[in-house]
This record gives sequence, C-alpha cells and structure tokens, in this order.
Amino acid sequence: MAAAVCLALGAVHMMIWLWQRSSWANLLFSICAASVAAVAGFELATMRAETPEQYTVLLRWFHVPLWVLAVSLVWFMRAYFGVGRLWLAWLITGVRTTILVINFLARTNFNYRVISELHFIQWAHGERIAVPVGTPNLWTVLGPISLILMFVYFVDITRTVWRRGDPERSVIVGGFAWFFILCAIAQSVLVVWGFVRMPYFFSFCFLGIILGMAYELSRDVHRVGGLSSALRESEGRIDFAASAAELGLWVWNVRDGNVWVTNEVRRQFGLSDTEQVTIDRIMRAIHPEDLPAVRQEIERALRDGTPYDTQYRVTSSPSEVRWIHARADAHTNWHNQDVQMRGITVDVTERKLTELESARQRLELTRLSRAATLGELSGSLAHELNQPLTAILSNAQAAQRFLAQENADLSEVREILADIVEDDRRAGKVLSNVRMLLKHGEVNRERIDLAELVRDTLHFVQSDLMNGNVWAKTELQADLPLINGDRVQMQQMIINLIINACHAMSGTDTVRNEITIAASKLSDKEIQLAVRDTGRGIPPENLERIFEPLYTTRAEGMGLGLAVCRTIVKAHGGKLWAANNDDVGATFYVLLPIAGSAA
Amino acid sequence: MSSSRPTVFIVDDDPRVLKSLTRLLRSADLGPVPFSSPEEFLVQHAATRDCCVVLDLAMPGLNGLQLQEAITARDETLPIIFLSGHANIPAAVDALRRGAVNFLTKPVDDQTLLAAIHEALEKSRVAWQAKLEREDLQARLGLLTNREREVMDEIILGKLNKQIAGDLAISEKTVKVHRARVMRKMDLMSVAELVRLVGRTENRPPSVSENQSG
Repeated sequence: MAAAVCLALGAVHMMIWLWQRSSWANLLFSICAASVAAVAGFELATMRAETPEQYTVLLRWFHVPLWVLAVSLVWFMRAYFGVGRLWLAWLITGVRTTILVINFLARTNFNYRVISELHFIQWAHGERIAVPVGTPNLWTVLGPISLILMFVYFVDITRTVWRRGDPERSVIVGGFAWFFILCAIAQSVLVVWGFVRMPYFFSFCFLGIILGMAYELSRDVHRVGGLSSALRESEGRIDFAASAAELGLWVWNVRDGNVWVTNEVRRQFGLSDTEQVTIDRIMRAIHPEDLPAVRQEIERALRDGTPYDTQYRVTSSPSEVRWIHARADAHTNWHNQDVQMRGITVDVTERKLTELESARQRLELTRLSRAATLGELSGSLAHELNQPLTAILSNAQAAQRFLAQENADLSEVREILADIVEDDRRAGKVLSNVRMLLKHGEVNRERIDLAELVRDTLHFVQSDLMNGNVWAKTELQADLPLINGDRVQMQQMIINLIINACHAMSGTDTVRNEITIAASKLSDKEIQLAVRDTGRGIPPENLERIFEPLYTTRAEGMGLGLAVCRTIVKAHGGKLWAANNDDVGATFYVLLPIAGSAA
Repeated sequence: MSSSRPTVFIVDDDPRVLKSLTRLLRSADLGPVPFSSPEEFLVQHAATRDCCVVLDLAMPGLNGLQLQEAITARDETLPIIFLSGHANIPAAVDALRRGAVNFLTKPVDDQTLLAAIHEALEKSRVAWQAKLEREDLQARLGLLTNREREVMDEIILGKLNKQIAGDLAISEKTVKVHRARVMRKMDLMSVAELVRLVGRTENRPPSVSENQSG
C-alpha cells in the first residue's frame, strides 16, 4: 500500500521532470520515490521470507534500492533547496557506495555475517512476520554512520534555508527529514544489533520524507500556476494602463531583431494586429529624413549605455504622418544574456503641430514688430537716405556749373563723379539694411563686436533722438569680447531698447533726457549690456509684465518691442530684465554669452 | 567801399554733404567757408559786409535753433539759411519767426539754394550799410556836448531859435552859437540833411533779425 502511494507520486513527478528538463529536483524526487517504493517492496518480501537463506538473498539485493534512495535523497535536497555542503553530499554518496560494494563483495550481505534463524512474530492482523536473528557484521556500523551524516547534512540545509528567509519550506521538508532520519537511525541500531525484534521498517520513515517532499513540490507547482496567472493579470494591467496613457511599450531583442510591442505601438506605427514585428519593419515605418538621426541615436545608446531619447516622424499610412517621441534603455537580459532595448513610444503629433504653428506665429510676430520699428524710425531712415541724396545732387549740379565755365577743370569733375558713385552706394546699403530688417527672419550667426554695433546703431537713430531732445551717452568697455549672434537681430534689440527708453522719457519735465548705453565684460562667460534712461521708471509690479507681447502704456504702438527683445535675447542664450534706478528712470540689463565659451 | 567777394559760411556735420555744398558754392563763385561743427563756427567765423551762413538743422551738440540764438546774440548782421533733412514744420516756422532768411529741405536744388543765398547776401549788405551809418552817427553825436545835444533835438523838431531859447532858458544868441557848432561838428550843410541823417538811422531797423511779422 505504501509502495503504491510512492509509485504514484514518483510517476507524477517524473512527468513534471520530463516536461521541464531544467528541474533536476523533480527528477531526483521521482527516482527517490521510486526507490522508496522498491524498498517497501523488499521489506514486504523480507517480512514474508520463509527461510533464512531467502532472507539473506533478499537482504543482499535490498541494498540496491537503499543506495538509490540515499543518494537520490541527498542530491534532491541539494537541487531543490540550492544549498547543502557539497563535500557532505559526496561523502554520504561515497559511504553508501562503499556499503553497496561491501555488500556485494561479502558472501552474504552487508548487515549480517550469518543469519542463523528466523523468528516469527505476530503482527497486528495475525500475519506472520519474519525477523532475522544472526551475527551482525562489523562494518554494519557504516549504515548508521551514513544515516547520521545524512542527518547532519539535512540539519545544515534546514538551517541555511531558514536563515535565507524561507522558514516555512525549511520546516516542512527539514522537519520531516529530521524526524524520520532519526527514526531510521534508531531503528537500524536497535534492530540490527538485536535490541529490538522487529522487521525492517525503513520504508515507513522514508515514506514520511517522501510525503513531505511531495507536498512541497506540489505546492511549488501550485505556486507556479498562481504566479503564471498573476503574471498574466499584471501584464494585462500594464497593457491597459499604457494604452490609456497612449504609451506604446516595446522590447527589442538586438540579437535576433524581434520586437515585442503592445497594441498601442501597432496603432502608432501602422502595423497590423497580428504581424510579427522586427526592427527592420519598425525602421521602414520611420520617415526617411529622420532615419539617419534615429540610427545614430540607437548606436550611441547601445555603445555608451546611455538612455535613448529621440523624436521622429512615422508614416503609418501614405497619407498620415505622426510625430513619435521614443525613450528607451539598453540592458542585458539576466536570463539568457541577450542585449535588449526596452522603451516607450508616445504619440506627440498634436503637441508637435501646435509647437510648429506657434513657432511660425512667433516668427511672423517678430517680422511685424520689425516693420513697426521701422515705422518708428522713419525719421532716422529718411535722414540716412537723405544725406547721400543731398550730396549727390549738390555734387552733380556743381559739376554742371564747372563744366559750363571756360577752362573747366576736368580733374575736379572726375573727383566729383567718384564722390557721387560713393554716395549712391551708401544709400544702397541703407536700403539693403532696411530690406534685411523686413525679411522673413533667417538667422545668420557670426561673431559680433557689441560695442561697435552699439555705436553704429546710435548713429543710425541719431536724428530721431535729437528730435525727441534726447542725449545719448556710451560707456563701452574697450576690447569687449565678441558674442555669437545674428547681427540684424542684435541691432533690432538695441534699437527697441533705445526706442523704449525714449518713450519713457517723452513728456517728462526733466531738463535733460539722457540715455546711457554701457557694455562690459561681466565674467569669463558673459558680457552685460545696460541701457539706462532718465524717464518715468517702471512700477515695480510691472517689471515682468512689460515683456509680455501687446502690453503697452502708450496710446500708440503695439507693445511688441520688449517682447521681441526678450525673444531675441533668449534665442541667443542670454537674459533680459529691467530694474528701476536709485535716482531716476530705469535700466534694462542684457546678459549675453561670450562667443566660444561653453553654453 | 569796394565790393569784396561774398563769404558764405556752411555748417554741416556730415562731411560728404559739407564737401558737396562747398563745391557747389565754389562753382557759383561764392566764397564758401566750411565748418563741421557749430562750436567751431561760433569761435572762428568773422562777419563781413557780404556774408551769410547755411546751417544744417539736425546736428549733435548745439541744435540749429539754439545756434540761431547764439549767432544773433553775437552778430546782428549775419543772415541765416537753414537746411534740413526733415520737413519739420514747427521747427521751420519757429526758425523763420526768429529771423532766419529761409528754411530749405534736403536734397536742395542749386537754383533754390543760390537764390536764397543771394537774397541773404543782399540783406547782409543792407544791414551792414545800416550798421555803418549808425556807427557814423554815434561817432558824430559823440562829438557834441550835452547842451549841443539838447539844441540838436530841438532843431530836429523844427523849432525856431526863439522857441528853442525859451525851452532851454538860454538866450537866442547862445542858441545860434550852439546851432553853428552842431552843424560844423556833424559836418552837415543844412538842417534838412541833419533831419534826414538822424531820421534815417532812427527809423531803420537796427539789425537784420528784427521781428518781421506785421
């Protein structure tokens, strides 16, 4: 009966092992169970033995399954728990093998030198059970020794597993093992040495152990089942959460090129619901213009181990283009050492389109503001054009008069013509500057000497300043470091700040309206430009508001000048702010990075 | 007095414009004297009988109108012509009211400019003449004693010797003596001449830049 149970359990676990080869524990368990069954069989046979000779032979062959049992039990413990001193395991194996060898070398068997007779005792149900009587061999002592060793081994394993934090398991298996080994030891000593007369009942002990192990292993199977369903549920939740957030999740196995993707990724990239996704398929969906940059990013991430973060366009269908923001991490799979990239994709099409639209609007606004500035500067503009025109007219008419005289001096006339040509060019340059200001705002970066630009700009706006009765002073540091920027934009910024200062001072009663423009090197990395006026000052609560577009305290004007200044300064990596002066008026400060200094 | 070549002062801070205007005036046989800053001009120029000044309105430092004041304060016979790059009506009106001869816009046509200059030069000559006469009168009057002066004033009023004697409480004979001395000192032949001399200088506007509004 006991045998049947063992065989059944053994069969089950054999099947488990066949199914999952990596689990040695299961195999060993089945072998162990099978051997216990065999042991039980032999015990039964010995109990039914009629003659001592029969008993002797049986006992001899009895040791085979015993050996299998002991060894498989020891190695099962090691495989299942993953701990257990290796030397102990080998020692036990060695001892038992010795026992087996001795057993077969001896004339009779291992345990007894001679079995003289059989005693028959009455058992519970009136059965007759044979009990051996005879002289034990000296090396019988090896048996209990091996059992003791096994006991020590199990104690050690139990303790280690307990300490590892798995008390439940260690108690169940360990506890069973201890208890029944002790029984076996006791029995073996007592019976063999003749203290107690009773048949061999090892199988009973080991059955206990087997049951304990079976229970544990079954629980494992159950646990695995539970884990698997928990995992499925967890996966389901992640997928749901990701889809709700419109996040696509993906894992790319670099070695074989396959990509695991969630449904959101399929939607974003225009992949069908069922097709197997590879990295090539993904790349084909990416816009050809963005592809080189994406490849570069991937290579860099894989090479340097830094996070991958990039934006690109995806043509999910011939007519549809989506903007995708992808972030990922490269790592090595612990399970099989493959390199993988795990990441997310977000559909940012809407956001991107809005960004592009607002950038276009800003550009348009800047252009409008420039046109408006030009309007404000009409006085200066007219003046700048007028001077060359005046010179040309007077020169030409003078030449006419000279030529009308007798003995006309032709060299003088030649000089006059040269001057006329030069003045014409001057006028042309002014016009092309104007045209550049009105152009669509392409940015050309070059090295600029801000001091020189300030001087030029002041000259340009000179006559307007004088009309407004404004004096301009400069405090420009000699050898000011160059900045990197667009000349037209920088000039626009300076002009706007000057105009703003003029407006602040118009209509005030001060005797002297003065603008001071100062430029100096502030640190190794920055220069500072300060435009100071003697006007009304700025109410403290408006110190930031004045930079908002369309904010103005004047009846005319669009309120764009300072907003455009801020945009320009920011585009150049600088800062612009305003502060009231201690005495009168306000100062606008501009910080700009020096060309060549680290941004 | 021999007619000297006219002198036209030009003041403009833009060197190219200054050069071209100078050339133009030279080609018209006027004697241009260029200055690139108002301060320089104020310090270095000297008025002559036949001169005027062409001023650029928008120059850094002293602006055109302030310069006008400075010139008229110093030199009542120097006529001013303004040249401006803007058509700034209020400034123009202001300038003309303060006595500028003309206000022209750039770019300026040679005929326009030369006409204005000739007008200014004529004004300058007239003013110069008046100034000479005034100085002459002052010199002559300086020769008279107080009593002689009083008698002269009475003569101009057309009073007879007898009346003058009564007004001044002196004898008629004394009056006659004073009268003769006045005529001799002032180098005049007749009372009519005296009246004309004093009347002319007193009725003529003393400087070119007097208020011309009606």
